[in-house]
Amino acid sequence: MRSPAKTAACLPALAALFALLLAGGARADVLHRFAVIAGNDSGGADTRPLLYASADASKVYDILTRLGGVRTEDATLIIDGGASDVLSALGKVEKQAAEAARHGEHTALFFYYSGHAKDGALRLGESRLPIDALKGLVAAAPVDVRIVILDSCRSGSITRSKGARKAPAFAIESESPRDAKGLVILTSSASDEDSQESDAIGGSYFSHHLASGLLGGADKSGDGQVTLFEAYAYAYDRTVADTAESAAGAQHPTFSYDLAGNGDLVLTDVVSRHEGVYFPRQAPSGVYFLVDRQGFVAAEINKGDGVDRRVALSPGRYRVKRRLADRLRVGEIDVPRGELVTLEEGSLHDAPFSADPVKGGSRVELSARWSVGAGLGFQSVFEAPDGAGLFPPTALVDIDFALRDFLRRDWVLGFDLAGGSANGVAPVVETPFHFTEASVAAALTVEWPHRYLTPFVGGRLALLLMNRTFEDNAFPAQFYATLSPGIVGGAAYHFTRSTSVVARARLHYLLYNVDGNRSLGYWELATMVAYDF
Amino acid sequence: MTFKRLFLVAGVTAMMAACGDYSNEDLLYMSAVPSSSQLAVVLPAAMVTVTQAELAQDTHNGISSVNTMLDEVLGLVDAIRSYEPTGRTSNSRTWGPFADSNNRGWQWRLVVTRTDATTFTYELDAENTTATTPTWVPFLDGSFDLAGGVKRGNGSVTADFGALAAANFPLDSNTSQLATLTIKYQNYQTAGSPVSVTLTIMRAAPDPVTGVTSAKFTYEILADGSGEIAFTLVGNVIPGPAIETLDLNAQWLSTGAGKATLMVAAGDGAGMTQTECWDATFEATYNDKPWSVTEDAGDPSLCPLLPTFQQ
Repeated sequence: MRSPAKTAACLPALAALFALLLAGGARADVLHRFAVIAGNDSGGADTRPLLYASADASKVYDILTRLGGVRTEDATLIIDGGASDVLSALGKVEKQAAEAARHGEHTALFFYYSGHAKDGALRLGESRLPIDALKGLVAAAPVDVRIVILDSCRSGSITRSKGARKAPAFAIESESPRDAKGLVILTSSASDEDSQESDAIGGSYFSHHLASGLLGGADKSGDGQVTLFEAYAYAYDRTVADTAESAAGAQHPTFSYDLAGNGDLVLTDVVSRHEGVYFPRQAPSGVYFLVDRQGFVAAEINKGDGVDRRVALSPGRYRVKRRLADRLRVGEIDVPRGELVTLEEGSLHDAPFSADPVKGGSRVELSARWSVGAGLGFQSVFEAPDGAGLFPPTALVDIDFALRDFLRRDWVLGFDLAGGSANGVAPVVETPFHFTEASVAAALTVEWPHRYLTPFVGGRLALLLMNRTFEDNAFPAQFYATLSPGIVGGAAYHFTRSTSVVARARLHYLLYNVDGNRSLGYWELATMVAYDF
Repeated sequence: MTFKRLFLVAGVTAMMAACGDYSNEDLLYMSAVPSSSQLAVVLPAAMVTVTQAELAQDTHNGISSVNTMLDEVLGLVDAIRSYEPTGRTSNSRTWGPFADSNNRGWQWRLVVTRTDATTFTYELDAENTTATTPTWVPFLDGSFDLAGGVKRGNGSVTADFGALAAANFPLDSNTSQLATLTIKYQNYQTAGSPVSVTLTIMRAAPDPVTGVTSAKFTYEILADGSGEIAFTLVGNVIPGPAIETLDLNAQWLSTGAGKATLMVAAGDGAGMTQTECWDATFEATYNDKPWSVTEDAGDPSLCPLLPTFQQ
């Protein structure tokens, strides 16, 4: 299982895969690459939904098809799919690879998974795919090179399996890529570690650094090609460094291989597209963040002193940040299609830490967001002792505002306004009256987001303002105000990414103290449509 | 803060914050005291013309007098009751004291008490706050017995104008002549018991002209809207030296058509009785006036067929 807000450790695996796929670098014509990439935020029962597993998978898919020599027709991206989807995709690759082999092509299979894993199985929603079975399927695939990258908790357990051996910590020398055959496995964390996500970077630490490395950050040799071991080394260093002081502890990616030849493999070619950002040799050393329009870190490049770096970003506008001891250096850069833009130090300016373009400024801070909802509800005071005679059942119009992840992840601070009216009959005097109610309330709930359904429970404190006027003014109007604590629960069904239908129930305590102290209660049911900003 | 503490704080805050006058019990206590509109005499409305039947006009005048007196006595209660009670106990509600805006230095207080499951008593008191030793002076003293619901029952209330006068309350020229005004009423109807109001006025001193010391009005109304009122008139109605005492008894249908008899109880023409009937427009259809036969008109067969009243 991969834990949110922490780190991941798939870099070695991804690096190995890319290396195999690009074995021979520009000589990709001799290695036909296939890819099956899966991401699932949900791990089914007894797991907590991830936030970025699907996004990580999409990012890897983009890099592989853009820079990794994988044709889009040879790549399958499975987002929030089940085990059967993965098995189906692998079956398809087997057929394609067998056909390619008949034509005398060398073939490579890249399998990447980001999501939950638990008890020896990948958890794809409610379905499970045993890791041993996956490994067996990949091993049996009719390809020359197989690379498996798992970005999930305790994924390192797979590398303890028979047939794989631990890599000797980046000591492998590059040999002829065409000698590389067999199985490479990279995992985001060791067998006893969680893989962590970060709101600040918008992904898992491992996949983020792996992707940054593949975009060019890991090109230690400076030849414009990122090899398996370069990528793994880069991702390993950055992941361990970023998670060293996290609450979950340092996360150590693992790398194992069983190759017929010990050759390194080129994973991405960051030169061929001649597109992205170029950090010249004279640019100051340090860690550069390139932040996309959505506020997520598209690449994080650790540039050494006196070396240059190419980062093969896709076209777009990016904010650039370099962190110094006492300030930031920030700026913006446009990457036109088909152009490699040089980042000039002069285009950056000093900025305080408060102007950090990286969300949260810190890797573990939350990015709070608002939502608003409107709907209809129904409220009824319990009968005993005479609650219903005092306050008639009432239809309400509700407007809710919610601030998510402000106090802490998955905690929702809510504010709501409601109003309604009803007709009743005062029982003791048998006189009809018109009842009106308005309420303003604050609530604190905890929610468990899933892809479609998000259940929630919490507490609420409402200020109730109630009034009634009697038919023919038989009696003077009466008013009552009180604070009412209660509990709330329900679920939101997301039918689009930002829109959901909410069903909610409330149970409240109602103190009534005019005719003596009485503890009444009331329940509410409501349904509404909510929009997340 | 744990949820447990959060709810504890919320509960304590709720205890401190709850307020208002939202009460069914208050309605019950309010219902025990009659409003002037509840006891007002209602005669079907019609255009009053110069040719209106003589006794119909007397009836209207009598009804107007009754309603005016009810307003005098119960209007103040109505005003006080428009506010929320200022005090609540398990068997009482208190309104006030409220300052009397028309009589500076005086304030009023209404206390309604539930003496048992079906009986309420109430008292409206006045107090001179500028007096050396302010004392509450009972003005209204009433009771109400429930009869199958808070809106149904029998009640009585006595207004003690004499007590107010003794405490130097600034009564107006009309009320200063009164000692007490007692109202007895039944506000529901059964097969043999109509809605009824009896109003008895005791003068502080005999009328210097007529010597009258008291007056009584009785009023009944049936479910179909027909009604009856009876009261005494005093005046020099019949030519002659004596002042007459006349008992007027008027009955009407819900349409307004009615019949009245005016009997001379004392004075000139004692023992004689005038009978007059009118239609729904209050135009006379029959008049038999022994002391003025020239005014006789119509036919007794034109009188409406009236139900039987109790009084």
